[in-house]
Amino acid sequence: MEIRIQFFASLRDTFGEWLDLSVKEGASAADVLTALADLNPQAASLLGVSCCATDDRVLGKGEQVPATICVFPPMSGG
Amino acid sequence: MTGSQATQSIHPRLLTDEPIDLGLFTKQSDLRAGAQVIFAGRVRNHHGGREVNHLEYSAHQKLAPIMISQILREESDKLRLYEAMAVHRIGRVGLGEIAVVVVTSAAHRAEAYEANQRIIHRIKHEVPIWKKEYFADGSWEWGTCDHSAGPGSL
Repeated sequence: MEIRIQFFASLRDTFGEWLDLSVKEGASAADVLTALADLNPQAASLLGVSCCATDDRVLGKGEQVPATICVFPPMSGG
Repeated sequence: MTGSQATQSIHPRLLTDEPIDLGLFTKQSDLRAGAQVIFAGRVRNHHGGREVNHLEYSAHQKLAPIMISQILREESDKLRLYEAMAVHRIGRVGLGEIAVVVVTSAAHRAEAYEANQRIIHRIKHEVPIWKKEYFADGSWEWGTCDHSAGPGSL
């Protein structure tokens, strides 16, 4: 299935703001992060500590992703 | 939010690209609160031995306010706060300017201090906000969070 990914912060420098990605049916958040690491191995370590979210909550690693998600690196506010 | 003792008001603007006025936070509306703790995180002029010029904060502007509200609700319930507010800057923030404010009010200071520390810790680690540090030599880098400083180490 095709999903749309919006990136934030340092991951946006690597992938741009939006990316359309083909993943297996029922792909989990962890599957998406792995697919992104395969796409760009240099970002693998950062993706390993990144997370997927929707506009209203962070997804667990095992959760199935919806058609549009965002992916972001560890937070650094404050 | 639940619990009859925890009546909480949340500042309507949890993210702002305007300078934060601390004066807006000093009014205490709940007379049951004997302690109010106000934390202001400001931009310092150094990081890792390097001279900082300014910071720039970005955020997931839909999710970040939702998560800040959730954190305020959870900590209010946990520590029976009468007031819990937090506002974080986004955009360019200059040296000495306030990047984040957390205000907590409780019957006694122990709860107000503890809740304030827990809330700022959670905002730094859980809310999708990122800082980019611009240095005096013209270089920049994405900020990192110090994950060694958990609530237990406070």
